[in-house]
Amino acid sequence: MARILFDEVTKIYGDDTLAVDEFDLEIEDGEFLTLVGPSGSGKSTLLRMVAGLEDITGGEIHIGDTVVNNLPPRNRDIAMVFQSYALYPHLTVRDNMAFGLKRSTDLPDYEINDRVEEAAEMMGIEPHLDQKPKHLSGGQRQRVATGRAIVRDPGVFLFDEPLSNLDAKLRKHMRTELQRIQQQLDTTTIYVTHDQEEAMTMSDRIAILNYGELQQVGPPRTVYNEPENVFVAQFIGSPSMNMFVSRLDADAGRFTGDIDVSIDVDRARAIQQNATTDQLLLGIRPEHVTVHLEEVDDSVPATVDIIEPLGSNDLLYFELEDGTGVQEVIADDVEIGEDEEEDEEEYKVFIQPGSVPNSYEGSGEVVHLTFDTSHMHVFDPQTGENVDVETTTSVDAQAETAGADD
Amino acid sequence: MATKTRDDAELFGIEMSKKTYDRLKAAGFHAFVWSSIFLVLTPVLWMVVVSLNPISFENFIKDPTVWASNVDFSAYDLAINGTDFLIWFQNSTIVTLAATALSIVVCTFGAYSIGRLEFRGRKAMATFLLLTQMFPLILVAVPLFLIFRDLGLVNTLYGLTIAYVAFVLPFSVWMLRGFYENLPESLEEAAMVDGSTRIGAVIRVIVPLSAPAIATTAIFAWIFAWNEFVMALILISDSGKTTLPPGLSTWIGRYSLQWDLLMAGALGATIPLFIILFFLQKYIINGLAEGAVKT
Repeated sequence: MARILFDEVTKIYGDDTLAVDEFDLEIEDGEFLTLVGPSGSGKSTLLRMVAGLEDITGGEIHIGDTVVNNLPPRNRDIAMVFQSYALYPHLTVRDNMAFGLKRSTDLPDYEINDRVEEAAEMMGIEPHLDQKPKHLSGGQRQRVATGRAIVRDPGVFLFDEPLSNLDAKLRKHMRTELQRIQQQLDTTTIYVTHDQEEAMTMSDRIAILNYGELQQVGPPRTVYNEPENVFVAQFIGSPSMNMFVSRLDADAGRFTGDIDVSIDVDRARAIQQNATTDQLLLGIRPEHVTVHLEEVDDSVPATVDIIEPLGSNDLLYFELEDGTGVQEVIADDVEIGEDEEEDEEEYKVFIQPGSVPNSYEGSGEVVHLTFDTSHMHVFDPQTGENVDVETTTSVDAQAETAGADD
Repeated sequence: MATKTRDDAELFGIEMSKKTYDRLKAAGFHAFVWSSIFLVLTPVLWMVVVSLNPISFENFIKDPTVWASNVDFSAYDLAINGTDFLIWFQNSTIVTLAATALSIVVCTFGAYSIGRLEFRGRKAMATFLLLTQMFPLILVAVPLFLIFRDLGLVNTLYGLTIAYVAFVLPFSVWMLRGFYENLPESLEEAAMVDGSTRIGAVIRVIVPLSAPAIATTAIFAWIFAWNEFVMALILISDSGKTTLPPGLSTWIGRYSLQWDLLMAGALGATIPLFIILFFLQKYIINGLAEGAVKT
């Protein structure tokens, strides 16, 4: 068991490619931490630095009480599961799993065999112990790779996008299985993924990275409900958060622009104090928008683009009559984390199936939207920061972020 | 014109049933393949024929029974008991085995370092290796002789072995390097996380996986060392220390040529190559096709 500490860790590739920039984070003993971010965000680099497969340009990484910067991978008490599984093709599953124990311990053969069988039972791969990896399916290979890691009972598990080569259904299944095993073994785990859904469902805490910089770290619910900046807001959550551009009139407690909403004056004044401009981004998740067929108080008219049936509810894509593009107001150096579909400019709302007739699709028929302002986030387009912190940051989240900063 | 059915086929404008067509096609194919094989093997067959009874080709064709009635193994007897053939054979075996083994070891690690490790001058080194392949062997023969003479390596089997390793290495390293570059790096990384040193990872994971490629380079080294003539001629002067190719050449006298003896010796020299190719041929095929598809 081990705690991991990143102390101003920096990685520069070649002469000038900055992959990780002064990364600080402490991972508690037994914690499941997910590093999530788009490709090129430096998350895999960080993991490989912990593993010792990548040199550390600056700063220190501690595993337990040891600074591991100059330790070779074999002396770090870690086990890693690779995206490609990296099973040794010339060895049987049994030998694959025993490989590490034979190299790193003095255990007698019968004990190694016992431990391999125990781990195989845990992963449900006993029948395949004497097969070569090429005879296994993708899911089975993944289990062998995980089994090879757990059999060594290391201080730290490192997962590098271990599920990304599986199909969607198997991925969901393995997700819960990995989580179960981690809880059972209570081993400190760093899990790298670009899939925010995986991050949300599995982790004790999520660290969101972009361009080698830590954007926010906290429990899944906190980063979902209280994103610190517009990147986190857009990256976490699927479908992603709607972003509207509106101008704040603090004294009236009213936003006008893409959407017109009212908030209480104290909150508006607090926002105005935090913000550097009065044209702001309003972030509202699809579940916090309500669709009315008739006009109601404070409603905003919109036209229906497409209705996607998802099963328990439908996803309605809508367009505003004259929206200002987020790209037009946002500062050049502010990242608005596009999700995988790059649909940050589309507006979405969850509706009950059948609550909006399908004939509205693309017909120009007007629906009326109201917004749950208590779940609304306000971002400064110049800095990307959440300027509505007073009202949305809970005590618990403040403790989390404070913990992350030390 | 008759209506064609599905079972009809056409060959050189002649209509026939599908069955006949298939048979003719198979017959043509086999005739072609077997005549090619015959063509390739004729010299070998002729070596056997002449070694048993020296006869001219015309006489052999006219009346093979004359040849058959005078067949004997005297040439083989003479080669084994009357000449240094066995010593040459032994020397060739020693040099070839040593050169092959040594070049495999050096080339495995050399190719790995050029294919995988990051160091300054890696590309330059690889290009330089290829460049050395562009000189004809004879060009370096004299300078090499002078160097070896000063080092006391002339007229020794290990001197010859070193020369062979040096000639085989560039090509072998170049070939293995390509193989290593195609192996996923995560395999060594996994082995290193699993408690191996880098050299341990190479020996336990990379070498077993590159067995086909290593076998291919081994065959290359073997054939080169077994057949090499010029270097052996220049570096070795004692008949008791020379290898088969220059040894056999001494049988070609200025005024006389004992064809049966020469052919018997040549056949004896060919057998080890036959054996090694027979056992390693599947690796050659594998090795050459390796990297074509991702596994």
